[in-house]
Amino acid sequence: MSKVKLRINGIDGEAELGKTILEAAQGLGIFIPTLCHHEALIPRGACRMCIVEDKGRLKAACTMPVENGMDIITDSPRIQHIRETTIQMIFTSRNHYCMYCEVSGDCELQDLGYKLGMDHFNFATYENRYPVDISHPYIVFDHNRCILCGRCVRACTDLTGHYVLTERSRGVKTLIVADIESPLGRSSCVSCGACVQVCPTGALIEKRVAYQRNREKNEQIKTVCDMCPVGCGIVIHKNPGTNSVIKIHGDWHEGPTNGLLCKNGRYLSLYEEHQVISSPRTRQGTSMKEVKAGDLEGLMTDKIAGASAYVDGSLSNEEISRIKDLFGEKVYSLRPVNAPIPSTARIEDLNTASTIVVFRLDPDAQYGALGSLIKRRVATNGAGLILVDAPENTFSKLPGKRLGSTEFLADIKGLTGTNDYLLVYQDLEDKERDALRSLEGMRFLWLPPETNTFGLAKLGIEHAAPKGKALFFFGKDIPEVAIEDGTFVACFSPYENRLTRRADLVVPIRDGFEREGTFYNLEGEIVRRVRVLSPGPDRIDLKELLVRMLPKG
Amino acid sequence: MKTITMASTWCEGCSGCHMSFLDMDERLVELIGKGLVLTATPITDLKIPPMGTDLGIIEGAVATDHHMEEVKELRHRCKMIVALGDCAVFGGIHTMRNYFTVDELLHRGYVTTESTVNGTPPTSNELGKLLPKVLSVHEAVKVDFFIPGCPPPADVIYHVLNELVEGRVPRLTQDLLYYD
Amino acid sequence: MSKKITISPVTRIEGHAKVTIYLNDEGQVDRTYFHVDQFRGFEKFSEGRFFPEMPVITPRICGICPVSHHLGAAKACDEILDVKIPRPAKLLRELIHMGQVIQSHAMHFFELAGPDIILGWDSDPALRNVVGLVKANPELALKAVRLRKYGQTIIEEVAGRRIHPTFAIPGGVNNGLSVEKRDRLLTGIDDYISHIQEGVSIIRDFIISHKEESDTFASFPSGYMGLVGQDGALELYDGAVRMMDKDGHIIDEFPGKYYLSHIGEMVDDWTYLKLPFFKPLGDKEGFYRVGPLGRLNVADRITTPMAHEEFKRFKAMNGGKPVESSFYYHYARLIEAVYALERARQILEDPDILSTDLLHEGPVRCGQGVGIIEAPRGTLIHHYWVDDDGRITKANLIVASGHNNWAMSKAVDCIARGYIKGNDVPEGVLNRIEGAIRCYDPCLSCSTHAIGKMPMVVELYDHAGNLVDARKRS
Repeated sequence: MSKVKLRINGIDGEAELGKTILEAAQGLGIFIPTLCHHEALIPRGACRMCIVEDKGRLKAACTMPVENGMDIITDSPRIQHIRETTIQMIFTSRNHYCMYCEVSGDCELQDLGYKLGMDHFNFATYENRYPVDISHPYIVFDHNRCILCGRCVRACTDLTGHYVLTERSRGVKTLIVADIESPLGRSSCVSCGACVQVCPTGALIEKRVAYQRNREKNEQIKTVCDMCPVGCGIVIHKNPGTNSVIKIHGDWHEGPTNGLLCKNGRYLSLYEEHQVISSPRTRQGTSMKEVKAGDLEGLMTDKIAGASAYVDGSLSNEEISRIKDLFGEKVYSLRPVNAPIPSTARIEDLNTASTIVVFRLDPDAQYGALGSLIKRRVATNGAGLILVDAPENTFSKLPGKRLGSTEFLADIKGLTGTNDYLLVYQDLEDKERDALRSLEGMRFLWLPPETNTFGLAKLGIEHAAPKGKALFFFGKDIPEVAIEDGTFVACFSPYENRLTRRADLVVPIRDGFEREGTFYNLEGEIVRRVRVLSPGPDRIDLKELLVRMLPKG
Repeated sequence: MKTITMASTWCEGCSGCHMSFLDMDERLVELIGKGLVLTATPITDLKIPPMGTDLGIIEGAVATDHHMEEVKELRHRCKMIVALGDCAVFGGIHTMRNYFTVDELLHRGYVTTESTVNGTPPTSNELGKLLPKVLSVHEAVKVDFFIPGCPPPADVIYHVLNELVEGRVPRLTQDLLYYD
Repeated sequence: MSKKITISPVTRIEGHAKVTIYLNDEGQVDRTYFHVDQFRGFEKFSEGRFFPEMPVITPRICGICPVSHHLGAAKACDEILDVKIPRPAKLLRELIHMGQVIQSHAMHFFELAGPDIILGWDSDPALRNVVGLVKANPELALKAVRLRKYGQTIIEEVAGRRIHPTFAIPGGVNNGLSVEKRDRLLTGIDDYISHIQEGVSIIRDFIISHKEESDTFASFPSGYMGLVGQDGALELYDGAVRMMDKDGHIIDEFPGKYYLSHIGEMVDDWTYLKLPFFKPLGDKEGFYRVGPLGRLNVADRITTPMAHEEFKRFKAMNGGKPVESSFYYHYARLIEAVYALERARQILEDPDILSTDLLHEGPVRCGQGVGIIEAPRGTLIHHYWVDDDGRITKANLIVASGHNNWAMSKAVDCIARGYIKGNDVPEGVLNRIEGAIRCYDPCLSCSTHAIGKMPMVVELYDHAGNLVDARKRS
């Protein structure tokens, strides 16, 4: 690796060719203030806070590559004056009311003001109003607090490939807009939330959790998302005083998506619209009676012997194993567990494939993080795209072929080993599977239907429709099932569903943030999910309950 | 013992900064013991500060012609003017009225508010006239020292007064600066 | 021809206020005006904001009772979400509300109005303030400071800071109370209760020993309004609005959200503060008083024992009819402070206060929300309209001291007519006129969604505009 020789603040040193002055300085532990700079985004030089001197000439450290013979000064009376003026100009360009702002205390602009000792404005106070866009269900965009750093635009384009946000006009008239100046809530935004995560001020904030943060104590917990088997690395922000999750951030340093999330993982996981089961209950005649947790075993023991268990893919490996211990061979999955064509590609291959085929899939609705990777690969890096049986969604923005499945199958008959196609799918009809699986030049990425589908398969549990005289159901997302009259039905779920209304025994189990456990991600690797919230007293720990029910000895 | 005389007033503010001043609790008595003399302030009865008062503390932004007169008078009588709180320093939350004309504001307050019956904006000469824009104090008179905050914590107010009383010029560094 | 007396400003209150008094040819008081000189525009500049910001914007209406606005705004936001907040959250909100009442009432009696009572109306003006109180009775002054500090500490410990906290949010609160903080707050509370009881004794003894003067000090009939709970109990956080006529009959009781059908606001040309009135009785007969006197007149009982004992004595002061003299505000105020301390103790001893079940969040479900609460000075109403996204389209605020605007003018009028005869305006009279206003503990910052203080000058002009007499307060 080539190096250049340069001097920073009077100290001679070396830096790698290709690095910026900012990176070189940070490597030496030297502080240069920044605002528009972000570790996960391409540098832009928008805010001008990082100005330094090189032999008397002013340069923006975040975008200027190092050169041999540079003589950088990062702190001088001239630079201090520039910094003071610049930050005052940023503040007075728009309207920054810290006193009622949602992010006060956690704002990069405010922190920089404090650090630079800004204690008044040399410019006129606020007098122009900017729009406040509250149209989106999860995001508020207050342009009064925007400093035009462009991080949101870079996140929406280079990073996530969605290309919704952009800048309109110039100078003081610049405004960040969505699509062709649509309100954000009626634009092609898919609610991935990357823009909110990177915004340094309160311009972009999470709508439903506004002011739920407690300034005194905020915990951050690293874990893995369990809404689908991609298993994005996340950092959960929790308010311990209220035992609630405030927001979910992507972890820039963890695979497989390095910080990219989607609507399901970032937002829907928090706003559970289903009704929570409040306490265990059992049927007595035509009505339900509440049951104490301690009495559950008594109600279940004699029913287990002849019963079958039906599980969904929301359960952890530990829970599924305990169910198997208790019910033996009579454990079945409510949904298919086997891949029509097993994966021959990994998620990271989405970043390098020449052509990506999205086969009868809507990444706007699920697997959104992978949708970002696909969009990024196609829109930013020019890979080919084929959409097969595509629904109406934001992928129509991208260049590519749109084909029906019959057309597509006919089209790719001639595929050879020199091609590099990556087909992403969830389900295949038999004839499609047969036509595709022996193709050369085609790799596959199978998206299992549920978070722990792989876990079910690895534990030898197969899909079967419920039948029998005594049925035990376990899971978050029980589908519509046909059950004969007179069957004993027990349902273990966090939320009310179609089944709990007719079940004979209903037990609320912990879910989501209240339990820990492992599951297999879609690459077949184990990931661990840690517990984030304290469960309420009526939320049963399924593992413990099943262990207690096992025959002793 | 060297004494520092202090006067204070409030313009377009909420009085929260003065409440924060009183939240110094016993430390106020300590400062008085070190030589701080309160002349015309909300908690004493003297109304007009004498010429040459050392410190004139102003809370609140300048929003009417009455406020403008008041801050000019205080500037005239005091050696050093201190702007206390976000309203005095930056203009504060009241600058949100700068987005509207005075007529729009008065019309909403006195005519269209749902509980108002047959209203029309008051016009008496006894009342101050609203300036077209709310200003920070130093857009009206020269300010020598700024203490931002909404309100500035009692600890910060105490620190500043203590430094002045002990003959030093304070400087608000990171942990003493608040904008909220 | 007429003469004009100007009192400007009124001191030892919050706010910019000016009094002008016009005399007729015989030197009798012809007309009086109580001018409130500030207007800020919160009802307009809140438009376009995202509604959860209101509990953090509106406390900036007033730095003395920010918690009242904070909670009133949060209650209006709860209605927009159409949620009932969890019981622990309600208890915590009520707890900081009690802290505020304790702090505000104690400060007003001992440090603002108190010097007139404890040191005397006509005592040396230079010492007729809190500094003089410290000199005359240092022990009592120290208790007063501690009482205020305790009220502020409740707010600080529970809500995070004393002035302009962010704690109550739509659907609940954003922080729980730890065991350590709860125990710290319970420590010494009995001492504070006995401090406030001392204040009660002072005012009660003063009234009894100055019965005639107390009974006729700015005494006039009016309606009365306040929140009540079950069985007509005094309520400061939540309840139905009760309206009583001058003879003591309850003429209306309604949920706060329907206030618009019952309360209207008049505008007068000589003051920025509007004049609320009870619509069914019209804008001549419909004026009423709020705050401690109003609340205790409309209530049938107080739910805490010591306050209830004193309440019975208060009710008996006018033979069971509504207590009309403005001076009795001071007595009522301290009774409420006793209630606030007892209620704070009740709340702190409730096991639910430590729960973490503090929030029921949700999307916008209602296009409007009304939050009604009893601030220390009277009934506070926050009313917001939002669109489906949650943007504030309109806001209407009726702030506590506003309801008392008519009454304060009337009080000034009473005292002026009672004491000013001809050109001679003794110093004690000026103080009594101000004293009439002080009974109401007005927060004119709030009521004009404003505040201030200026030197006091009284000038007497004849009709030709010549200065006849002048008196300066220094």
